[in-house]
Amino acid sequence: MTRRRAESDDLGSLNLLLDTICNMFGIFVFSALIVALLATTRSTQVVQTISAPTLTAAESSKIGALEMEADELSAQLTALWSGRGALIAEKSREANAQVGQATRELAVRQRTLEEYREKIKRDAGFVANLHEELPTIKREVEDLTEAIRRTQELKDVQVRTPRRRELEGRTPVQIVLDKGRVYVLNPWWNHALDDHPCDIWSDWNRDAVVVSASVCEVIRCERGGAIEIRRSALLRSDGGISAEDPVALAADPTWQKFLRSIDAARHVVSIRCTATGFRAFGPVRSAIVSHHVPYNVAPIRLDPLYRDAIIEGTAIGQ
Amino acid sequence: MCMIGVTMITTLILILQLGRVVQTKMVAQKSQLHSETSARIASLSAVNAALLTRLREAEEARGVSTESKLARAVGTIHDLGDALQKAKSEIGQAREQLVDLASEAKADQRALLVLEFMRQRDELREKLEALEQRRMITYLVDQAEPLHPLVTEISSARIVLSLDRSRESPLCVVESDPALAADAIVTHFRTHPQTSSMYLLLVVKPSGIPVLEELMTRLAADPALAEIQVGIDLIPEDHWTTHAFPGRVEQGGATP
Repeated sequence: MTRRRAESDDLGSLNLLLDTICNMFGIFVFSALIVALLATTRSTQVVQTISAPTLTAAESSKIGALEMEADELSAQLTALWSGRGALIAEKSREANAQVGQATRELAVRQRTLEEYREKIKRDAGFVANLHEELPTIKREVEDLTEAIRRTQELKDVQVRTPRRRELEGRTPVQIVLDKGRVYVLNPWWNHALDDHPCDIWSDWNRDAVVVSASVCEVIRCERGGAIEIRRSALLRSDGGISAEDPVALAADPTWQKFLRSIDAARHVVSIRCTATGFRAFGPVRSAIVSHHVPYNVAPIRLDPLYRDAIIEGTAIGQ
Repeated sequence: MCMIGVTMITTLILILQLGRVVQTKMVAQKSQLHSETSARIASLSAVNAALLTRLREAEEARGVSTESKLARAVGTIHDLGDALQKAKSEIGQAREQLVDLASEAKADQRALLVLEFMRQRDELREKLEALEQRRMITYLVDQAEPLHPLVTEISSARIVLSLDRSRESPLCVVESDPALAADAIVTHFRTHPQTSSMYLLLVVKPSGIPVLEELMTRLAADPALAEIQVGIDLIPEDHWTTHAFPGRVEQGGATP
């Protein structure tokens, strides 16, 4: 009896020890799991908490000073542009453009006169060879007819009822008209038609904008979903394409490249025009309409940055 | 006991890993912050440089030299106009002389064709010049269009309203206050007897931008005006939409 009890007591104490060991092991495993879980979930939080604002005082003050300077300069510029000086400057620019045009016309007339005088001076035998000039003169007549057609389109504008819904769901392609020039903000010709527009909107055209001073903030860009992009761009003072002459604009290789890259079925051209770009609006609009691409237009002011917001890719339609 | 030891070591490793992750992320974030700060400073510097350049240009434009340059340019334009006229008449004379020479030399059909093309070319050049100088903008409306435009020319000092198919005379409203000008446009459109078959074609000059902004704000804010269809065209300051009210407003163009 006693021996049997002693054996059962030994087994009981071993069971107790095993139970204690198992409990301890379980606690350690549980603790390890908790620590591992905390390590993975809180690491980001910990990093953010530790390293949130680490701008040095010098950097902060430099940025602050630069921002203040930009605001002051912008205010001075706005004051100057809105005064009489700006009006005179614009008139002067227009007058210079007219002088340039008249000078070109005079040069053409003088060349024509010279051509007639040359022919008159020669002996009567020149008449026999006059037919050799037929192809040249025919081409000149064709070029002039085309120039007249393009200019006529600017003066006799074909209008139709605005169709706001026609623009819905299309991808806006932004161009800015300023000082008689057209600035295509993004190089649409460097991208395939299937590229996501967010990629194109954030890729600046280096011939049109100062890339280092331009910002494209992509807040969200879900493929096939919500889009929110805020941009500011500084136009290059020596950039853009001269756009007041419809014939010269049509012949410009960059402009041709741009027109070829936009699709009449999926794009809408958003024309943003400053007060000094109105004269270029006619030729630009005419070129876009002749490619059957819809457009919308809005006058803007540059401060001197061009600013826009693209929200869900919906254009503000005409 | 062995298992307890292994578990403790694993826990220790995980804690160390956490520290390493924190350290790595901190370094990465610092470097990102540094590059962002540098980019921001570079961007602001570029903006300021561009602003300074434009400020200098604007200050030069404000100076007296620009006014004298403008006066000189106007004089040059007059001189060039005279020279162009003189060249035109000389070309006419030379062409006649050439035609006489060709007929004297009994030129063949092809030579005569060249002379005919030369005449056509000269005429086309003159036509192009005349067209470029034209300041009147005409709006062509397809009769099949469901709505017709109420052409509303907007500048800083006046609004000119005209309807393509109506016999009524164009109307000019002299108003320099953008808010009142916007009111006048809305009132005229809403009270017009043909409102249901019309849309507003806003033909804006650079000086009319404040009126356009005021008008668009009103149209967007008032649900009663939301149905009005609006088209926009932009024209230079020295252009106009009806012969009844030509010329620049500043030059007294507000009266027919």
